[in-house]
Amino acid sequence: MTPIRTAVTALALLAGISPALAQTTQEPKPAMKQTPPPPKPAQEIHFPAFEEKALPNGLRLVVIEQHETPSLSLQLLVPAGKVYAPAAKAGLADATAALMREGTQTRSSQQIAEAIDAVGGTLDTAAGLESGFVSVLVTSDQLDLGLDLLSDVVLRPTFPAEELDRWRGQTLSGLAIQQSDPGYLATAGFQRLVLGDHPYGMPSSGTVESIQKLTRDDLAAFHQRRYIPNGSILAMVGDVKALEAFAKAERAFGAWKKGEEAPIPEVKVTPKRRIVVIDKPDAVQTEIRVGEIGLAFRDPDHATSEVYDAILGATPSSRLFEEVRQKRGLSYGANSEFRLAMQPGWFLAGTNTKTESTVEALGVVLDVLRDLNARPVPALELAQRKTYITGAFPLEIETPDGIAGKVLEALKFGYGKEYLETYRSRLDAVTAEQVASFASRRIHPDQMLIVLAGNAKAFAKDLEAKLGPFETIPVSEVDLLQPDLRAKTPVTPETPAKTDK
Amino acid sequence: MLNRTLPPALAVGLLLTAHGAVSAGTLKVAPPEIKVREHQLANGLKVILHEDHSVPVANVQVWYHVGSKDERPGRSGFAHLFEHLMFKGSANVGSEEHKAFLSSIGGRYNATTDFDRTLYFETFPSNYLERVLWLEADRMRSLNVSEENFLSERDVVKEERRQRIESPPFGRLFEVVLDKTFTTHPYRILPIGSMADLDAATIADVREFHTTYYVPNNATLVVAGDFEPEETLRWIETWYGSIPTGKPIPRNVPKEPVQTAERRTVAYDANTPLPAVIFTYHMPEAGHPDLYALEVAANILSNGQSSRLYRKMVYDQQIALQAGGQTIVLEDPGVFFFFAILQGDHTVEEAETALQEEVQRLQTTPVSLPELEKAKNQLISQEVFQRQTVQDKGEAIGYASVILGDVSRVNKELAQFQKVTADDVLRVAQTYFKPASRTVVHMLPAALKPAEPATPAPAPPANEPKTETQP
Repeated sequence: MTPIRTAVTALALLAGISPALAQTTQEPKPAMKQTPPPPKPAQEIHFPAFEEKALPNGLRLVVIEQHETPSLSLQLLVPAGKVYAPAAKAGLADATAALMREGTQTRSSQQIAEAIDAVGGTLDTAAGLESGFVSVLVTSDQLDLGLDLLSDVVLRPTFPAEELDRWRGQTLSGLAIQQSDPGYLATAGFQRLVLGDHPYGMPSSGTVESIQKLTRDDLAAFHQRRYIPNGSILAMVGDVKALEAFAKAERAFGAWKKGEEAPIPEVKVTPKRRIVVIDKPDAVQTEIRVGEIGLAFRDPDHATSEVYDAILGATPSSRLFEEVRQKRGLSYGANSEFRLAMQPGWFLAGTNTKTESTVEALGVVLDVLRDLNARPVPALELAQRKTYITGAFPLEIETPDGIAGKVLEALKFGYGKEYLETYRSRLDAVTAEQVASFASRRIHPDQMLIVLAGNAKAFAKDLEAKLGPFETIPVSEVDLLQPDLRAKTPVTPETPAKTDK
Repeated sequence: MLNRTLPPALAVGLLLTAHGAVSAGTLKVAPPEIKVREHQLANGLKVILHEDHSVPVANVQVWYHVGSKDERPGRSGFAHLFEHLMFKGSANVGSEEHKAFLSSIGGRYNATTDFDRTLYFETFPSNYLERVLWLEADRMRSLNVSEENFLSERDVVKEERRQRIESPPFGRLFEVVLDKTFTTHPYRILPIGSMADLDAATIADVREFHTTYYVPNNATLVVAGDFEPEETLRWIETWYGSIPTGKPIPRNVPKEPVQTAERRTVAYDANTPLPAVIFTYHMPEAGHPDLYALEVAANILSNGQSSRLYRKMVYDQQIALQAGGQTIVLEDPGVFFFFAILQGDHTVEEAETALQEEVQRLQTTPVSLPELEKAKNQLISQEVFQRQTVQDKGEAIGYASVILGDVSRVNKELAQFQKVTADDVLRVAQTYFKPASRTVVHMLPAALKPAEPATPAPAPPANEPKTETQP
């Protein structure tokens, strides 16, 4: 979210999201409690039907018809994420995605903006770990325009030099904002350190140094190599007919030339305890990140990891939330995630807390992790966390975009319809023994990487007493390009990252 | 987040292109009508049902017509703190149970407090509808919060304030802006409130607040999704019908006096990484006919990369990282704000001049036909895109009923936007964007603060922006 959106959203929502959840009630209860009304029989859930087709150039097309509202979502996924960018060119995948919509052989940046705005639609480009994304959201009377714009920015971008300079100026200002955000620093620092030199861990938006060096040719070359039809998937979802959508998509993308697929480097890191503190003396809260390398999407432990995550921290009923927030009031939130990718991504547990309770909150997070390794999950808790996941599934496929997200993910990782249809039964089959075995093999609470961002001086003594020695990096010296996060030379003073005069 | 450094898609536009102005014509689609059925119980509870059987999912929302504007002086943040406590147990539901139950069925639930209302909501597999209605009824009828839970939850809310306001970049921007825009009306303070006021709250306040505001005659129950209406109405009568009516709801919110002279503030803040300029103007309350033209103006200024302020300040002049002009529509008179976050070495004076030019342009030159059409298309498509889930539809229904005072307006607002003319936009810009009604805030990085003021003042705490008000 952009900062001003954050401010505006904060204004709109301010105060309220995320309920109170706690454990015991001390007050006496009426002798006779009401019996809660029972449920009606559950309805069967089927994954919505979708149709698939592959073009000769390798592009896969998917159509999901949803006629409830006159909307149409076009989502193109391309093997063009940051994992394919060289280490010194951190931010290249983001830059390429961003600049694709800033000029094509037939339209200027402003003509693209005009065309999509005039019909009240949106055109977005982005880059993730492994994929580039181009998406168009329009009303369903705009299928032709939507496909025209989508194919234009994907197939014919020109990367005008003046657009790159404009983007560079904005991005450098944006980096200055990120550099002052403890939440960003902790997460980006964690990812960089946990992955060693693997490109999954490089900062998505780059750094002042890497962004300053990017050239027009870098972007054009990245586009040329990575925006290819083989390995790409186009999902067309909403108020559209499959036959028409297939025919028009083929017209728009049929001439797209095949490229060479590129391997993703292997992730290989041995867990080893390391504690790094990013020191931001004016911070009022400390951001806490704890974790290690997790697993790949196709790992046989995938389903078990989802159940483990639901028990540990994926939901507001999970243990981290319960222990950090409910029982102790140490934070507004606490959670965990597994970032599953082609190669193993990270496993991360995190929270934030006022400076004074930094070491206490970190200790609680570690204790929760250790406890889950030490003792089997009670049957009721396991059952409830599984029904959390399986019950939420129909909610996640309520909208065309929700359905498209699931389909794109399954197809990207080499699965099909059956994977989606059997998702709930796979999760349901996970046992307490599997969770215990998973935790003992894959989760290493005492060897995890710990990254904190906050006012180091205020908690340094406690931290050392509790967990031993740690490294401190002043916030002004953080350089995400370096394997140890430490800038080799001070950041050059004339960069827009430091506007103070 | 991925797009953190990118300019916002919401920014803005000008219509000239190499081919001249582009007009796409009016969209040929319309958002589907939201069909509703209204009902009122004898105790005053309003019930609104909307059936949608597309997936076996239901959504329940309870709207209490109380927000931060109803707080007593010295109790800022209380409506929101209270919202947290509604999850801490009632006569038949233990402190852990509401959320534990919803989680165990894969439901989503939460609550939000804003200036005007507090909203509790759940989305869940529809076979559990009666159970969820029962859960909401129980906490409307009774609240059962221990002192221990009260104190721990207050700490959670203080952490929430640190996380949302005090830690993130620009976190305090709107807190300062509203404080300067309003002198009297409680919109002056964000719903999160102040640390000191949160500390002053007591459990006695909690009980009183429930008795005063959490009563059927101050509540609207919205059910949207997959259900059978007759059966659902019977369940609602069973579980809510016997909750006693409360006293008439106090509505003595202080009015904001008419602003008669421009106010200007320069504030320095440690968590403001780039300078920001904000203008605010007072505008009418939700439901006022002039808001349609003001909303069209906001779209023309800010929506998309072809919008006026994006095009001018972000794209052409490259003064700003982000710029826009938007409405904050509230139940009492709200705010229209213009903003720019500066980029590079550009000065707040440059940004102020650029924003002022765009204010004047709206006041002196009618917007072009393609711009008007584009804004209207954006409003149509937003309504199509934002009414896809039962939660979205429930919120649109609740807003029409509780804030606009007439649920049928959920299907009528779009037609009002479509009637807006270029003259209407000109007129509202002239009426509301008056210099005397303006508040200007320059929010600057602490590092830009001039050294050594003539009269030494005590240093502010690290994250309290020091504000200096100029007459």
